[in-house]
Amino acid sequence: MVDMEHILAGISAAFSLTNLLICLAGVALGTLVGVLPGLGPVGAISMLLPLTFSMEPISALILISGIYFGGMYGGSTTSILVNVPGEAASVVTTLDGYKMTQKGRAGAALAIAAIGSFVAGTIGMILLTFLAPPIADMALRFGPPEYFAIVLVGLLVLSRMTDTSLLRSYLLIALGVVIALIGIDPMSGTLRLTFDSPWLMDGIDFIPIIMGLYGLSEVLGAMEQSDHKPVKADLSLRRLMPSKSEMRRSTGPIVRGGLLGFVLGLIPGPANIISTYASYGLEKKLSKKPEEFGQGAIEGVAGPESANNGASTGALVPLLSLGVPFSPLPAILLSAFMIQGITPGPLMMSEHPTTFWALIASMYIGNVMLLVLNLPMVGLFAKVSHLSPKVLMPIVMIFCFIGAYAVRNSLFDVVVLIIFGVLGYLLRKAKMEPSPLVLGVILGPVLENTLNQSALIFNGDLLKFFTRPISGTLLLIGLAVTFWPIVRRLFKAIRSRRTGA
Amino acid sequence: MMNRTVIRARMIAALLFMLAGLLTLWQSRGLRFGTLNHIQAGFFPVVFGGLLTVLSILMLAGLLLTLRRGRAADRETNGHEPVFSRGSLAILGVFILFVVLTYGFGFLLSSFITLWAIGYLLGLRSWRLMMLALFTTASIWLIFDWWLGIYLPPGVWI
Repeated sequence: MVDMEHILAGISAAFSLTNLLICLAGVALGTLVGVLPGLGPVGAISMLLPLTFSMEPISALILISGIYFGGMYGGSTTSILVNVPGEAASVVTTLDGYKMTQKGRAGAALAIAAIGSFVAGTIGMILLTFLAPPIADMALRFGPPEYFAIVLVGLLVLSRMTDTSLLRSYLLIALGVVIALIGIDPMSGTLRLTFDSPWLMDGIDFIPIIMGLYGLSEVLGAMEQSDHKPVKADLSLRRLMPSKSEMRRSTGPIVRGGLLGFVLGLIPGPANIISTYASYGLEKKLSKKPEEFGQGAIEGVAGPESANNGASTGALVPLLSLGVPFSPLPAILLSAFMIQGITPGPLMMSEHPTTFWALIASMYIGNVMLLVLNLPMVGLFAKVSHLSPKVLMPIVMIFCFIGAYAVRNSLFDVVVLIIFGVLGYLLRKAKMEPSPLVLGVILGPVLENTLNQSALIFNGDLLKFFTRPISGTLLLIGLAVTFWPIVRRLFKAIRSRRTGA
Repeated sequence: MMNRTVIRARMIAALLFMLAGLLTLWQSRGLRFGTLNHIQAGFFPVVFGGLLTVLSILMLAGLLLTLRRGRAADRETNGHEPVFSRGSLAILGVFILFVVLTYGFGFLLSSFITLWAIGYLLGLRSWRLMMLALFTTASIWLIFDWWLGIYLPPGVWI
């Protein structure tokens, strides 16, 4: 049950002057790193993680969630102004956003992106506030078989979403799980995959892995990046205001994008990327003038930008209610929680209720701050987006080094960071998305522990997974997701053979 | 259509993953596999090490087939994208230098030297380079050591 006293305590903690300032710093920092060229939000947020290490838990989580939402918004600025998406989720915004800039409507596009992000974020947070507690309540009744099914199906769905090849996704998940196995086996205390090295006895922390894959890998490829040419856009407050007709045309796409994004955010995988494409497609289909899309249609900015923010909030539901992150961004939030000694999930609301509600309240506050901050300061953010990689990349490098070192005060973690930086660079060249690897590392131990416990409960009869309603249904979904492409291909082959005959 | 850089990178990745899978299987030799009633410490390493090996062999075979088809189909895989191998290797060298210098001389000195080195590699020169190295090192010390109280290693030789 949700206790009103804890909600009020959380809200009052979020409204303390220190936390309000921290929230403001978080959204400003997030937006700044979000607009930085060549650095995605995952790399940017992981780079800023060490700032939270010595903070109080509530303040630390408020800062990191501010950075999370700010970073998600920041990516759109470079898409609209320089036709260079700050992150993969902003690629769609370039289609119409940049066209609007060329037509002299950059200010309106940026304003609609900010308003859309605010509305979608608010819709998402309202849904999160009402959905997370009952799901967490329900999850308290989940046993190891249900958690095993959730994690396994999450990984299976993710592998269908991230890459065109299942083989490559499974390969990265398997590698992630193997990396997670290094160290002491929690069930038996046996040392595994340590090569008798004392450095590996405690296992490999996932923070240097994320920082390496998403942050340091960018530094390795720094010489391949070129400076962006600044565009002359009038970003004065007067020119920021969208016209009445632009506002009217954007209302529907913003609301639809926010809802669509939130729902897609609940599904494992890169929801913030998929949701932008889904929203763009939906708006084009619903539009009376679909031919305007790609030529500077405001709906093409409003829908995807709202969907992106809705998905970022939706992705927090599994993290906060089940303790399971299904994409790299919530995984970084998970690491921020764990550094503070808080395990997100069903018990968080009973063990750390004030922290939970302070975090939710700060998300609302941060969302308002983002809107207030982004509209008048868009000119400054636009200038930041022209920062040269020659200056930016050395700073990213040193932040990554500090972040990796500070987790356990160990230079070995810096070595791990460098190894995964090289791997991240290689994966980028191979056009392989590293998120299955990250989630393999994070969810691997959960998968192993819950399978071991389930096997004990079922006395070795693993078919009993299908006798429990939740685990059975989820595993059937997982089987369908995995085998449907094979069945479809088989049907196609039979049909073409028949028509050929 | 995949270009040559992508195919080459995927081949290297597949070989690395295969090596990782084989090493996992080799390291799991002494671990007990257990039964379905009682899964033991060797179960996951053997299953996932095996999976890693098999999947990487499949990926490698697929890539070799693509290469062959590419050659047959009028070298469709000839496209290239810029890879500055020397530059990336030099940057990697700076990363390694950072670890060695931090171990010996501490975080601050190594930060200054590596920032200077990487800035130089990226094309910064004269006062801009010095400003980058000096101001970033000073800001890092102020933010992390002085303000946030994060322990930065002093080095064993000084």
